[in-house]
Amino acid sequence: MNNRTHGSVYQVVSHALEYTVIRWIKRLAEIPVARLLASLITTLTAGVLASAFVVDITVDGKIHWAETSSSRTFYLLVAFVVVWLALQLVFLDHDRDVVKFADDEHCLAYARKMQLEAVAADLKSNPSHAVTIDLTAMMKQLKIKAPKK
Amino acid sequence: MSILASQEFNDQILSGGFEKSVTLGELAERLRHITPESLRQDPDIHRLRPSKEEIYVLRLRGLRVFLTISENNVVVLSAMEHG
Repeated sequence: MNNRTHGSVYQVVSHALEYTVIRWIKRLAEIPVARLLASLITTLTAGVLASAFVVDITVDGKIHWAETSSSRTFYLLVAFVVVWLALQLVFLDHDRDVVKFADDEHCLAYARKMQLEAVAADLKSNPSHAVTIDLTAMMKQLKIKAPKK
Repeated sequence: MSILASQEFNDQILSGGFEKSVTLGELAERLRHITPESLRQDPDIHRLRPSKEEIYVLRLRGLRVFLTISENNVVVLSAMEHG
């Protein structure tokens, strides 16, 4: 297979993942109860896998860390942690979107309430309506120290 | 340093209306570096949409500062504590 074929296979796989797994997780992120259950199940599973790994490398009551690479449960645990991390990252991304949307809506509502569009239009057509504020003098007057550079 | 602002913002400063999240000194320092050109490129500033006028919002921690451009000058319209 040449590079072009590799590229198209990669694109098909990434699109397939995007439209199945990621989409499904994003849908899950929108349902608080489902998120709670997903977090609970994954945390419990990670705990069980971590315990299984420790049991796997314990011989005669002593942990043999050197056995880590030969333990199958270790790779299972690593794979599960990657899935768990991906899940949390999608949840985080969703939360960021929600916060940003709420922030934008809040700003828009404030601008409408304070009629900032009208004020901006007025300042555009009548620049002399703008007030010059000497912040340095005002800070002195209000006894505010200037920030350190 | 001096800034151009609306009467509304001037009144807000005098009443100390947003000093909970950002001090006036911090705000002055931030506004000092904003130009009409940087207004459109700064990652902390976004244009308010949908809006007929050119209104930009500067996010400064818990403070949202509303800016506009008048005769190639940045003018502060108002400020709001967020959250």
